[in-house]
Amino acid sequence: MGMTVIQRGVWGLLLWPYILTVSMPLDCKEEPGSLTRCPSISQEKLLDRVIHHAELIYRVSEESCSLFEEMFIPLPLRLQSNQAGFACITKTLPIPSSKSEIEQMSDKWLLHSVLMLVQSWIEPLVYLQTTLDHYDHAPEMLVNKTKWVSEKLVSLEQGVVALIKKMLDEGTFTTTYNEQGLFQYDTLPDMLESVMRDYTLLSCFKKDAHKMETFLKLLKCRQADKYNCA
Amino acid sequence: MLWLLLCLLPPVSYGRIVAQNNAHTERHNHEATGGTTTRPHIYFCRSPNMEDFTCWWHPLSNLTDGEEVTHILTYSKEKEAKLECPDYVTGGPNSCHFDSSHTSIWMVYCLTVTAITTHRNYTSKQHCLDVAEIVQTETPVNLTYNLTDVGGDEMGHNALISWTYPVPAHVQYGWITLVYELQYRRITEPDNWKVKYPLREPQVELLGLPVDDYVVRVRCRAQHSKLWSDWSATLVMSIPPRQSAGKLLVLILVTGVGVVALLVITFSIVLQSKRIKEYFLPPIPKPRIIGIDPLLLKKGNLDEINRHFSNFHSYRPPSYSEEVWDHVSTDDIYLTTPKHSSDAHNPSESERDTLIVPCNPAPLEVSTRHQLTALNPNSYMQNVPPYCSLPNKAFTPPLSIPSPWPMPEIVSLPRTDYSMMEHPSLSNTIPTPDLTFSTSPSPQDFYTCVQLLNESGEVHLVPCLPPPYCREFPPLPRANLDTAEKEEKKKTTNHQTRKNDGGNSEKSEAAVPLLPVAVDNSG
Repeated sequence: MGMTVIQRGVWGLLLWPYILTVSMPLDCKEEPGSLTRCPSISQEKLLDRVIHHAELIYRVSEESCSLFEEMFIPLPLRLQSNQAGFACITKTLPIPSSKSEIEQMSDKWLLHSVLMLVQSWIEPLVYLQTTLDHYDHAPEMLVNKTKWVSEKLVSLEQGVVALIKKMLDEGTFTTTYNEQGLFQYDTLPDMLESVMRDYTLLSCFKKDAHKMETFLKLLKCRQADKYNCA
Repeated sequence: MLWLLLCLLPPVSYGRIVAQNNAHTERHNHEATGGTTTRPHIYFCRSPNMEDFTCWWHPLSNLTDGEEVTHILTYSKEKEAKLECPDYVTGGPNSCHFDSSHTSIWMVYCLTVTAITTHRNYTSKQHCLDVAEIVQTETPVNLTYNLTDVGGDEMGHNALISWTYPVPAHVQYGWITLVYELQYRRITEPDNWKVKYPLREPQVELLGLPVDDYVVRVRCRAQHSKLWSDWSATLVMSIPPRQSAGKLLVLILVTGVGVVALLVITFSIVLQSKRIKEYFLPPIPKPRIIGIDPLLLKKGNLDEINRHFSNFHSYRPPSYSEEVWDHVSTDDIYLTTPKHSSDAHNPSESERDTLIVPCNPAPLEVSTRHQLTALNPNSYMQNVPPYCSLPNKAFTPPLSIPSPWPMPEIVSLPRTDYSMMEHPSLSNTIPTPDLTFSTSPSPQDFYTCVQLLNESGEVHLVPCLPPPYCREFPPLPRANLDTAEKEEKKKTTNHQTRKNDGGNSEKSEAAVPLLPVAVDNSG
């Protein structure tokens, strides 16, 4: 049927209330009782919260590592900052480490790298918690800290997932990357070896936490100013 | 068919709009009246630490008797499936509590409460929330204050107010950053709150509070949230009047030390008064003459004194007359006014007296004449320092007294400081040099001793020096007088003066010798 202009006008006239209601989503109006406009958190807020998580995780992991080092590792065995890279469990992940490579990463890759890191560390931290309980006189502060960190890491994973969903409009990720393959349990390890391994674990985690924080901050910087971030 | 659809759409959408408006007004009504509605209503949700949260609702109140009702809360996280409340108990009645495993800060929660009665269900409005935005921290507790004094002279006190957050686990590791606000006011001013905001530490120091009673309260909030906690329990702080104990102590200490020092000094002065007095005011020796009791001089009868002294050489008791002594006006003259004047005795008495006359250069010309007129040639008492000897010649130069003597004149020798007093009538043999004045004589120069006293009225004057130096006198050019005669007379005087020398030496310069001191004149 051919429509004349008049007919289209009539359509529009009849349809305008419907358009109005559709444009005002029911769940998203401003109610006096609630504090949100829409049933979804904004991207900026998500990113801020994720960064907040990453900062705290890094800080607490750094404190835990130094505590552990003081208590259990004699001086000559202490790792320098550049030594432990080869022993980390995440070395197999395709995550760049040099500054120039990182700058060339796209937003998508940044987010995915962070997600990979986070997901690969959830299990080892749980393991670390259990081993610390076996120590004779591990300080309570250390135990509490590692526990807190592992909890927040789980929360961080959720956040990054939500952020990816928001920023990249991708589907949800329910599976993790190779989480079984990265970490092997050794049954009844030698005491010294166990201590050294835990120490290595903590140091590696500290480095990776810093990496996560850096990626996320770079992402934030790019949101504000694309070409002026280092 | 198409037209049917078209006709249906507007009413449907219109109905929806109306429904929304109704819901809006209903909510307003509900909040205004508070509970008397036909639907339950979620009115408050709160998270204390961003890890769990609780929601409360108003239940259905429009009930008929005997009706049972249950409430169910359902929620969904963004676009996920609806779930039921995990915990109805922890938060109290009509509440739902979400623990940490059910809480996510990454998604928006939308909740609804359904009241199920036997007849029908009443569903509340949907309430959506973001957990991070409903964070309301706990109320601070343990509000205390400590008073310190303000330094310096200021009145009032400083108060250090401190409190604690009841659940430290919320703020550990920096998970929540707290910001505090403190308000205080005087008890007497109910609405005049003073605000201290923002505070990052759970303590604050209020400076310079005046004396009064104050009410203090504090509250806090998470930095990223807008919701403040409840006000803490108010603290009544009373600033006492300033204790000046510190100042008083200092004052007492200072005055004590000062008094003690004063006492010590006073005692030392009192004990050493004699020595101090001697240091500052050297004692003037009392007049002492060997053989004479000083007390006699002080209090003795004049007759007794005269009797004693008449033993001494050439002493005449003073006679008190009312003669006038001229005042010596020039500066160069050192003459102490004689206390007693003596009568003009008969100059023709033949007693030989030693005479000391303080003689001056010419400026004293006139006054010395006057003075000399009053002199008694035979007895003479005057305040004089020790001088060189005087030839014991009677000396009578009366001027105003009618006497055979003509008026003497002062004659000064050239090239010297000497001046002579002589009578003009006899001035034939004696040259009359010009009067010369010495310009700035020392006190010793003022005293010229009469070296020689002629019968003709001539007086030879020489500068007076202390006794040791008197031997250095140059002799006067005297043509008339026989030097041998002079020396003879001197010797007799020396004899007498030696007697007195012993006593003389004990006198100080300022002493008043009652007897003229005769000193050897080398002549």
